[in-house]
Amino acid sequence: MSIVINLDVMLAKRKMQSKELAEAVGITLANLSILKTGKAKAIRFSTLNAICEALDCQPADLLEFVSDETDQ
Amino acid sequence: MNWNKLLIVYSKYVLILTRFVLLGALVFVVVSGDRYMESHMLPVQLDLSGSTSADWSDQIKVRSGYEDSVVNGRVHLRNQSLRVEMSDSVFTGGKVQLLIMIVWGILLTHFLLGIVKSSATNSFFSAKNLWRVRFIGFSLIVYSFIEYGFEKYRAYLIDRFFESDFIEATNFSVNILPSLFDSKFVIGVIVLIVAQAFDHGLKLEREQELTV
Repeated sequence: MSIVINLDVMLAKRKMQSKELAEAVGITLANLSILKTGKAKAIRFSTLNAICEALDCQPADLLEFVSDETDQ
Repeated sequence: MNWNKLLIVYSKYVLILTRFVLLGALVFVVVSGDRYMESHMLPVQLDLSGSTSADWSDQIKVRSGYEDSVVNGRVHLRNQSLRVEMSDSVFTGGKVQLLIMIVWGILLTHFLLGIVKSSATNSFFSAKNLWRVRFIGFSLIVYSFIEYGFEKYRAYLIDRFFESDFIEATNFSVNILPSLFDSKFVIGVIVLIVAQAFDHGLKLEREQELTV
């Protein structure tokens, strides 16, 4: 099972660049890339809060649960 | 004053000096051969209390037939010790053990130095340090077995060349039962346990790095 972060989708919807979002959230581009590529082990509420504020969306718009069966 | 930094700097220089001294000792042992080394000396632990004789032959009796194997002896009444010089034909293992000890000491100081240097940076919990700590732990345990082996061998030599039941003239006992579980073995086990903590710390650091 895995939690997928649909950051690319929201960035496209808001027509925002990754660099812009990283600056708005206060994290490095490298850390944002970790989120986008699904390598992140955890995300702080403060970071999630900042992303939602920057993209004007809900956490549910960003986070998606994908079970093993769906993966297959 | 940052005592932590001071301690790290102090430890670093002590270890560098120790490594330098050990390297010098290694060169000396290899180059000097048997000239200055007491490689044919066999230490015999005796209870010399009450004895006033400095003549080693009064303290211990050589088994008949092996007189040629024993060259000389030296009694230190103050230290309560007796050292017997064996002939060239008898391998006492003294030099070999000393070489192993020096090489092991060099490796130990080298790895400790690596750990101390990394403690000043942000890479203390690293795979390299984990490997170093595990190596130190395992090498301590292995070295305690090597020491035990040499002690057993020396006990065998003492039993072979000397009469250990010679107790009529002097009151003495010979230690022929060396302890395997000496401090190096126990410290080695403790270090391996610490290595497990290092491993856990490394996993936590990796998770922390991947926490956004």
